[in-house]
This record gives sequence, structure tokens and C-alpha cells, in this order.
Amino acid sequence: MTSPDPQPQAEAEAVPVVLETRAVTKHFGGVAALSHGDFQLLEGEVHAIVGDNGAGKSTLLKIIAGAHRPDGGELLINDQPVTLANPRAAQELGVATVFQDLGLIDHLDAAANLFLGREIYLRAPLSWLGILDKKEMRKRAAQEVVRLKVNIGSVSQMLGGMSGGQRQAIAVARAAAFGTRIVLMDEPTAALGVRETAAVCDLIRQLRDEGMSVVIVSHSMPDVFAVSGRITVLRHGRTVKTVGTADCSAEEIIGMMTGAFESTLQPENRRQATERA
Amino acid sequence: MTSIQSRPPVSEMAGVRQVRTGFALWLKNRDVQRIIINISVIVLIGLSVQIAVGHFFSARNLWGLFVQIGVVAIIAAPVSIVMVAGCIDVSIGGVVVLSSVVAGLLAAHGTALWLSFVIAVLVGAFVGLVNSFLILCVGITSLIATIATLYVTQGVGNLLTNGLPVSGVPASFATIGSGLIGNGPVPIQAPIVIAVLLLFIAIQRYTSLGRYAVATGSNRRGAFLNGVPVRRTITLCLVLSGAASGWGGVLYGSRIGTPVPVVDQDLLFQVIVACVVGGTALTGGRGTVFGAFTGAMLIATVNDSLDLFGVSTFWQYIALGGLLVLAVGFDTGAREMLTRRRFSLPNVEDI
Repeated sequence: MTSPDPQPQAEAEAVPVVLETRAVTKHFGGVAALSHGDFQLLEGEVHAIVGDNGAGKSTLLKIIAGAHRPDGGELLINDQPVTLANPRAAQELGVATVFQDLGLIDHLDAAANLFLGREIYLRAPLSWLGILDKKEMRKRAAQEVVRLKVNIGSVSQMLGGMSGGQRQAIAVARAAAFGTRIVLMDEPTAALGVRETAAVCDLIRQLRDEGMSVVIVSHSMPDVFAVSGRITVLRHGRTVKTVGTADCSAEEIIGMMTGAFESTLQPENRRQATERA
Repeated sequence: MTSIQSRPPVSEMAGVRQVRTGFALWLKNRDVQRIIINISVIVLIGLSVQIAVGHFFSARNLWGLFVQIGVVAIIAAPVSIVMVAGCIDVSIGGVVVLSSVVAGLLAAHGTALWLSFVIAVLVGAFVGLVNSFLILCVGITSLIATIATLYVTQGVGNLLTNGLPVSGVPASFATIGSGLIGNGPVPIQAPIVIAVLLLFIAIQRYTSLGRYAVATGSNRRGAFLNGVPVRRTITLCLVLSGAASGWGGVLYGSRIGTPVPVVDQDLLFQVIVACVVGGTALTGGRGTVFGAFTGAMLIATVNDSLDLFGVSTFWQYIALGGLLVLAVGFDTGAREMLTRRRFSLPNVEDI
């Protein structure tokens, strides 16, 4: 595993901000899921959003992904204020999302899943009939799979027969292909075993090394510390703080998540909290 | 993170080693297994009838079998795609009635045969459009919506003819359904049925519609989030099954000679049985047009062999029910038993 890259504050100023939310809010009925979401994503960084259940991290992610419309505040992509009608609109701006349920089709093969919704067709007269260029899609899917070092036997294999890690990798490959600049991932390691988690972390680093920005929402502190460069902590729908991963400990992050940071936690309790994470 | 690497061009990437469509992978496919099983059972039944009674593998009998099942096969092809897309279309029974009556009436009133056939197909397609409106805009489940249109189309067919067989249909009307090519054993229907089957196999295998149908039936929300035009897919599938039922109605009416405004329940359920025996899952996502065709052929083979053995029609109903239980039961129960090597009830979640 490579070490999480340090992100000194001074240097951060030089890297362009690719995505930013300013004081976004979102209410569901009378409940404020997000009351003040501030978030800045730099080019080429892995940024984790953490928080306790109900802290608003998934809501914030869905706003960025275009799945939710914010009630207030601003969303900027490449310094341009934008309004995203749906996930597709976000995708057109280079923001692709891997939702927690992945949105894959079990009854189609890996290649078909990679190209779902953006199929390649044969040349002009045949394309009018909607005739697919399956060979080309299989070829390009295989290239993507090799590039991202996804470990599957064949791109012609049905997705239904694949492991959780392979499915996650296909979903990430789908999101990361075709001109995406920002990849959002909701709990990418939630249902995975140890080895598969490591593979997904490697995949996230690979995306970063290729210059993409990655946002992960995760409960898993070890994974957050393994891959992220910076961490934004949410609590009760508000952004608490954004810190460099190298500049803080899991303990401090959990303290900020629970509101116990810099309070009078007994050392014994603090140890337990860290273990829980 | 000051130096941002750009992505390497595709040409520099590692060799394409993962393009593989192996024979083993192909055999593992449940649709393929189902088709192989169906064809083997057809051949087995055929051989046993041939040995016991004879006459099975004669050109006359085989083509007769084809004519018997032609209409079912034509309609089962798009209906299997509808089922793959996660819907079901039972309005086909009514559409067959309506379109055969419409074609017969038009022909009886002196309209050119080809034009009356085209109009009958368009009537079927229109019913498909109404079905999709009921399902997608009104929000009725496909089963209920198409039962409604089954009754409505049957009613309209009866209204048009006052409930009587269509009279005054020209003799040429019967040619397409019951004529032979030249004097040979090949019925005129045969190339028509085969052409329609090939058309739907091509649609399922080579077009985005076939792929979108699988995506829609397998995971509708996921398909939608991935940009699959779910509504358009369902609409197109239903319009295709309506149009094919319209065409099936023409052949059906033509085979009888005088279209009758009565729903043929056998036909309706044979279509659905053909799809299911052919490996189409009612839950969506799985199934093939060719599989449904082998299912239709299997039904015809069972009925035909019982005929040759001199067994009464009543037993044929029982055989059809048994066939359905065997085919579907094999898919779930036997698979389970083979892997566990002992009998146990299916998982509650799988029921």
C-alpha cells in the first residue's frame, strides 16, 4: 500500500478546485438532512467524506451526483455554478457516481454493463436500426479492464456470477471510463472482504494517479486513512472541518464525528471508540 | 499532488487478452442449457414415436407440426422479449381475435389482401401502444393492464361481427395460412414463420433494444440511472408483441378460412408456456427468442406424438400441464437437488 499523499495547506492553493459546494442545504419534509454543507474537491485528490449515521454525508454526495436537488446554497464545477437535473447531467460534466447498490445488470455480461446507456453502434445505415458493434465494445471493455487491473476472467462473463469485489470493480470501471474527471463513490468497501477491499483501494489510487478526483463516502476508518488525501467531517448536517489525512489520527476524526473532540473523553472510552472504527 | 498525470492513450495499454467468448462459458449459460435440453427432448420423443408407431420423421408430419405451432411461435418470439423486459402481455389472445376479424372483414369487403393484412398488423401494434400507455402512464401492472385489453379487444372483435363468423371472405384469404408451396410438403406459412423468428432473434441479439430489455427487466432502477430509456424500451417491446400478434391473427384466421371472434385460450396459454419452457423467467432479465421457439416446438411435439399414439385430446391437456411443471421444476428444484444431493424445500426467498 502506498502512503496517503500529504496535502500541505500551502501547496493546496496551487491545485485547482474542480468541485465545490457552498453552504448547500437539503430538507426532507421537516427534517434538515443537510443544513450547511461546505466541501472543496481539488484536482487529482482522493477526498473522504465521513460522519456518523444521519450526518448528511450521503445527502451531500447525492447532491454532487445530481440525484438530489439542493434547497439552498451553491454547487460549482470548475468554478461554474451549475444546477444538475439528474445523474446524467452530472455525467455530462464529467462527474460519475458509483452508488451503493451499484446499478449493475446481473443478466448482462461485463462488457455490456460497461457500455450500458452509451453503446457503440455499427456504421451509419445499420446504426439507424440500433444494431450494436458488440466486437468493438468487447475490445474496448477488455482494454478498460486491463487498464484498471480488474481481475475478471472474461468481459463476456455474466455479472450475476461475479464476486462482490469484481462487481464493485466493474461499477468503478464504468464510472471511470469515457472522459470522467470526478468519480463519486458511496460506501465502496461496505460489503467487501479484506482482499477485495484492498483491490478497491488500489483501484481508487489508480484513478487518482491518472489525474481524476475521487470522493468517497465511507464508514470504514482504515480504508479512509489508506486512500484519502483529505477528509471532510460532517456532523448533524454541518461541515465540521476539512483536514489533511496525514495531519490527524483516526481518534481525532471520530472525535469530530461524534462531537467529543477536545472534550473530556476518558482515555479508556477513547480507546474503545478507536477500536470500534 | 502538484504534477497531474494525464491518462495514457488507449494504444499504449496492455495487450487485449480478455476478449474471450469460450465454448465453456457458452455452455454455462442457462439459456443455452435450456435450449439444448428442449431440442434433446424433442428428438427423444420423436425417436420413440418413430420406433413405436412410425410416421414421426416424415416430411408431412414435421411440416404439419410446424403449421400447428406457427402462430404460437410467431407470437411467443416478441412475448418472450416482453417478459425479459419484466412485463407480461396476455392481450395477445384478444389481439389475435381482433386482427383476424379485421383482416377477414376488410378482405370480405373487397380490400386488397395485402392491405387488409397490413391493417390487421397495425391494429395489433396499436393495442400494444395502448398497453404501454396503461402500464407507463396510468401505472397499472402489465398483467392487469393486458387482461383489460384482452377483454376489450375480444369485445371489439365481437362488436364488429355481431359475434358471428366473418362471412364472404374470399377463398384466396386462406392461402397464406393453409396453402402449400407448389405441390410439395412445405406450407406457405413456413418461410413466413421462419422469417419472423429470424427477425426477432436479430432484434434480441444484435440491437440495443434487446440489450435494454434485459437491463430493464433485470434492474429497472439501475438501468434508468445508467441512462437506459426504460419507458421507450417497454413501449417498443409491447408494440412489437402487438404487431406480431396481429400478424399471428392473420395467419390464424387464414388457417381457419373464416375468422371467428372467439378467444382461443389454448393459443394464449401455449404462447406463455412456450416462453417459460423455453427458459424465459417471469421475473424478467432472462430468456431468449430461440428458446421460446424450442418451447413451442416441444409443445407441438408432445401433442403430435400423443395424436400419433391415438391418445385423446383430454390427455394432451394433462401432458401440457405436466410439461410445464417438469420444465420449470427442473430449473429450480432439480438444480438444487443436484447440487445438494438430497431433497429439501426451496429457500423461502426464492419462492
